[in-house]
Amino acid sequence: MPKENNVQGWAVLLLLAGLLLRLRTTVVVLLSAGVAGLGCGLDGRKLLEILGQAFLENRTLTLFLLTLPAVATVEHYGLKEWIGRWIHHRGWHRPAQLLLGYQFFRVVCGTLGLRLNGHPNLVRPLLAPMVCAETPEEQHETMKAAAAAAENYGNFYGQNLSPVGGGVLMAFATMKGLGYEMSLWRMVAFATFPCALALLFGALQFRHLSRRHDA
Amino acid sequence: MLEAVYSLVGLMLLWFALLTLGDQEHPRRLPTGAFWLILGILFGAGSLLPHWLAGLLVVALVLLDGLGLVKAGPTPPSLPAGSARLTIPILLMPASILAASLLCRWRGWDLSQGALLGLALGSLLALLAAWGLTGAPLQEIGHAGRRLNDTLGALSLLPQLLASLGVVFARAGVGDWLAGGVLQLVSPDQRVALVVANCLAMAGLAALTGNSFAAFPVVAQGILSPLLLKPFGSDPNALAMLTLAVGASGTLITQMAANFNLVPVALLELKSSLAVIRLQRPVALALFLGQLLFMIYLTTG
Repeated sequence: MPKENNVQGWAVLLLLAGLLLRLRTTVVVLLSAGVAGLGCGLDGRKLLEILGQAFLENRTLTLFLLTLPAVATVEHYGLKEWIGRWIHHRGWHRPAQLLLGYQFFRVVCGTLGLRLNGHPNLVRPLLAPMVCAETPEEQHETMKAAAAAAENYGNFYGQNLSPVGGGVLMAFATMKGLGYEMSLWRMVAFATFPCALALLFGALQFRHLSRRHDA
Repeated sequence: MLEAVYSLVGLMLLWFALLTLGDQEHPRRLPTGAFWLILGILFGAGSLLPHWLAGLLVVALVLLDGLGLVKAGPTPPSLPAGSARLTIPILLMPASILAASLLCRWRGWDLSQGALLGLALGSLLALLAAWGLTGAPLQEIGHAGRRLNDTLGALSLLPQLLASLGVVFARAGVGDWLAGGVLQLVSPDQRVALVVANCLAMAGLAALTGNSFAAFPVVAQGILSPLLLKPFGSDPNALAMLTLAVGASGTLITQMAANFNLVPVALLELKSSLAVIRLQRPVALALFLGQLLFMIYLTTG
């Protein structure tokens, strides 16, 4: 690599080291931005301006905070306990099917172009208590993590199935900008492969996890 | 319209900050309250602040978190007597997002802004429903929301911080630097090695920046287009989509994707901060290999 470009290398290395050493992520990110920014010749004030502007322009990423009071209130009034009783009453002790069903539901949401913010809105109040209801206490940590994973698998690969999904549009625009004839529908057609693969591997993992608790 | 929603978040954070400052049992009452107060100011009054001042406030937030001063207070046990009606507020939120999205699709309005407004409206409806169903005093609702917010803590900040990092990285030319590095390792006639480099760069960059959005343009410009599509003439739709999707394998295994991998750890009160990532690792690897093989088949077949 050319010598005058070493700054970028240091900034990336800093991120990598922070990730591997599991240092406090906020600090690592800010330091890396500082190294990259100051290293490429921005002065401190300009760097603060870029930081502040980008932070303000991306406030939509944190809008989900608005959902917290309602979620917290119904939880305080015993939502989890009710879900536990309900699942128990229905005799539904197949967490693997619940998890896969949820992943499939998120794929359907993605296909419809819905962005749900599933972790605070659905996983914590609904899915996690459902999969934990009929599993022994020592399995709860794993089952809750699996509920979060089901949300991620479904969300990541499902959103590519919508021709107006954010990622698809971004890739479409990038490729057009590079001079390619693109078709949104053809792109979406190829997104079915990773999505189907994710459902398959998700199914295998969830089955494996709930098998472990039967044994 | 979005500005009004930001103000709403700002007001809510202000409410949380005041409740935290007044909570005598909170282990880090003052710095935690200050943290939410500053974030509230950035949300509510952000558009009025000069950008350098906003940047300075962001640095202050990171300092408060970096010194370990942002903490959650004690959580009282929940009441045992729940009923089916408690699911109504929870279901109102996705229902409202769905309704707003459909309305926007039908009227041809901006879909992503519609979904965000639906989220805000749904949250308010859910709050009203929760209030009506439980008869909880407003003070209690505030404390419940604040405690949940506290368990997330500074993690809420990370997605926005990473977006800022992406902007600074673009200014510093990190993308060109990475693309240049790949060219030095792989010679331009090795198709399979180039597909591997393309996928590794995409997943790696997504892991470092926490999402595929920042990574894709860099990889498309540096590797996918000049080294794979131009010389070998494969279908750009197929390779672009698969490259984008390979990024998700990187996102699944990184703490940088805080809102997907760390926020749930806090929300679900898991003991290990890597619990979700650890579970996702084998699946991410299998997906990576599956897509890699498919792309090799598409470029060589």
